[in-house]
Amino acid sequence: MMTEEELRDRLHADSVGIMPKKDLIRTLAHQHARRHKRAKVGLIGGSLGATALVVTLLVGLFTGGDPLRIESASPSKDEIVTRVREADQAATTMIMHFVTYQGQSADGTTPPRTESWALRSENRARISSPDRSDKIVRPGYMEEIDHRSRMVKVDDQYRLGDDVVAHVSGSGIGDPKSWLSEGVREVRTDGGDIHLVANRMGVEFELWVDARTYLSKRVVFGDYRMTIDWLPATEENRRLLDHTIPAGFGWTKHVRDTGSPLTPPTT
Amino acid sequence: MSFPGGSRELDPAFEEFVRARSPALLRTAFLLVGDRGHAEDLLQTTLLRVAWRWSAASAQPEAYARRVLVNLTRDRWRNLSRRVRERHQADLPQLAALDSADRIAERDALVQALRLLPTRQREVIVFRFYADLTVADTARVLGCTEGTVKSYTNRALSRLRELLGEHREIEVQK
Repeated sequence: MMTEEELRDRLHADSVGIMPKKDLIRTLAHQHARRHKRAKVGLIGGSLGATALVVTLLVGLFTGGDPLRIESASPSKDEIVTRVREADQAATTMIMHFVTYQGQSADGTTPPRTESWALRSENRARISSPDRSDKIVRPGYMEEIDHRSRMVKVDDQYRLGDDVVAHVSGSGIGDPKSWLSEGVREVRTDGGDIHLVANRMGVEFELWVDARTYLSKRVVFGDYRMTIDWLPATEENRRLLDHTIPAGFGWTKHVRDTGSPLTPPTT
Repeated sequence: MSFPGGSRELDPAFEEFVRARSPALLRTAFLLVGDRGHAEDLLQTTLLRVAWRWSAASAQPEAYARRVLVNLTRDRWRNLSRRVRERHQADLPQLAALDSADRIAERDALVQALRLLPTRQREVIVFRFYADLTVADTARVLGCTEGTVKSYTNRALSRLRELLGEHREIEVQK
């Protein structure tokens, strides 16, 4: 009979091999010092900023000059679009992680799903469709695992171009920097996010961005839906841009018209 | 001018606390989330918060750290339910049979079963039976009453028994 003590023993046994990283204290010291520095700068900067604002207001009041221009608390549509573009540009060194849904399955309930990761600053990306395929791309190279045929197709002359997101997303989506290129028709706040409505290739394009960071969170484009989050390009997260080829899978080299057997890479 | 973070340097007592208790805290985090990578992230964030509030936390640093860990874990589940739901390794297509798969599966069965428990039930199991906290201490960490802890404990053990496919009774010390 499994007793409380046995349960304790099993919990300890199942986790006994887990140890913190050896550089944990050094990492904590580094992060703590950084946070301390940011707080100090923020506190001093905030105090100086507040002092400067009061002085400026008083000078303006007593010198009878033109009234100070106070920036609106609610940015205009153009300002929002500019901020969205700037935030996106700043995030090209982050890993854009997105899950896409398109259409409906036969039972009308569960749409097909793919999951993708793209590091745009390095033109590397991956798209995974569970039980079906898993593809990685980088400049001059593509590798695709086909789980159903148990084959791996490689193309070492792959033409990637400069829009890596287009290779791992639905047709017409492409890089976020192109999403608002045809102008924004409407901006509204929506549950804490900012909702932008635009036209793209004649189809309504809806984008939700985080009201704090202005980074994209969700897209609806026709029957194509995408949810997005942004991962720092740490060593651990970079591993998401790669996949592991299952043992026993065959290989073909993509030669445009036909496939030919290929010796698996040795590295 | 004083800062909530105290000194720029880590307090030596905090470093000693990390050396002594970080393995147990990491394992607690692992049992709570079932994923080693996330557990390491949670541990790091937890310890940074403890370091930042060391003057307040130093009296009972482990209790403070546990409370932070629970809050971070709950935030994580909330975020996951709002955003992209993560797929656990076990849900992914089985890519290749490994020689050690059976051994790993057996060893990991309890961890996998824990993941299938509702959050609060999983928390009481981890804090009562891994961290060896009393019912009262578990209630303090989880921010609930002792009665709630007892109730969750009974339900969690019952569910664990089902999940592990055992027809044996798990005896609970009253």
